[in-house]
Amino acid sequence: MEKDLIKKIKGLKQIKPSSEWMNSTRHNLMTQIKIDGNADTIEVGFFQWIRQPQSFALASCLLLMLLCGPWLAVKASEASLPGDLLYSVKKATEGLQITVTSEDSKSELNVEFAGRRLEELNKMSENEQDNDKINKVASEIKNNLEEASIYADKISGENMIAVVKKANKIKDELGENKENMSSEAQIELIEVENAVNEFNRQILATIIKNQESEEGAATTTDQEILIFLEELEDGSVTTTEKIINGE
Amino acid sequence: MKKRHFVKFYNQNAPRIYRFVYLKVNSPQDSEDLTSDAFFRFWQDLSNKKGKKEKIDNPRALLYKIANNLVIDFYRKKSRTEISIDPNDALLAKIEDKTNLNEGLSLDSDMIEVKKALSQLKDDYQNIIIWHYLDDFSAKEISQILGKPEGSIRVLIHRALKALKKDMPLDK
Repeated sequence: MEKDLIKKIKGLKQIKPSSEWMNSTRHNLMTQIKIDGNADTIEVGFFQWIRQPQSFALASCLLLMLLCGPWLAVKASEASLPGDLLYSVKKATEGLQITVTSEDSKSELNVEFAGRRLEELNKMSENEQDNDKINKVASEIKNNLEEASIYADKISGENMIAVVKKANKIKDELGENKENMSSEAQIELIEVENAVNEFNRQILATIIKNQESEEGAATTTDQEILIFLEELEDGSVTTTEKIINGE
Repeated sequence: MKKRHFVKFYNQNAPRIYRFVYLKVNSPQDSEDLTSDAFFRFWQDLSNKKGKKEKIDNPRALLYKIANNLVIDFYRKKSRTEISIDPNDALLAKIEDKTNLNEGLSLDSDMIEVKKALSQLKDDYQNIIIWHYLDDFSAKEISQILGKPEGSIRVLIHRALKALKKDMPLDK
């Protein structure tokens, strides 16, 4: 019985407006909406464009470029060499890093950058680039190491041995490709080696100073550094100066 | 909602709103006026909500809510006795109504009985019957229109159908 009643109710669906009225009302509504000044869309809030797929995709791309652009430029500049378009970006990034870093890390960072310059120097000499650029890079290695010496007393104990090893690794690798370099560049390299030696001396002085102030025995790290530096003094490491002088 | 979406929305819902209003006010002319008014107010309401950045969960429920409020206002302005005519006369009027004639429509005796019984129900029950059985609204959607819990709507549907059955001539 209930089903019959529901069927009868559904029969009322036959009540419909005339198609003429439907059309004229549709037309009137559109006219009123236009007059009302509601333009073409209803939902036109500031963020409503997000719902438009094309606008959203374009905005996402722009945002991505804005956010990732500088990062990509920095990443791309890492492999650049002097004279390359992105080399200035690389140098500027390094300069910024040196400026903002604490004094404790300045020495470490300078040794790190000296290592990068050496890599560039080796690539440039392999590619037989002009001597002026090579001389300039060699000079920069020296400057980095001199600055590293200035802040040598600020290096924390746990980082000290790593920085010393890195600096002396630079000294080891100076001899590579020297045949392709000008005499001026070779002189610069000798000065770089001297700068590493000066850095070692500063480290040694720092360790001695620390021992005196603490009135105790040298720590294990200090001992390791001292042994490493002693080996260098003994001449167990072949230096660029020796190679150049044919020793 | 863009204007073209609004047109589509109008095409889908105008016949239903017209029917809902017609069953409430029993006048083709008033039903047409109230229906077009409901759509215009619906558009304005969307614009206002856009301005306030409010979200509309169910546009159809909003439209019916507006239409229902317009019917209530309509009855406030005119007394029920003034606008309602005897159901049997109303049926005659309907048969003669150009709207239905235009559609080649004629209501059979069963539908005349249902319409008569429906018009004798109280407003809440009329709405529930129309929305649930004619417009196929779920209890959840009706709860959105009336702002009542879904459980209460299910009870109302049951009671409304029971009341309608009671008012049907064959059941008496």
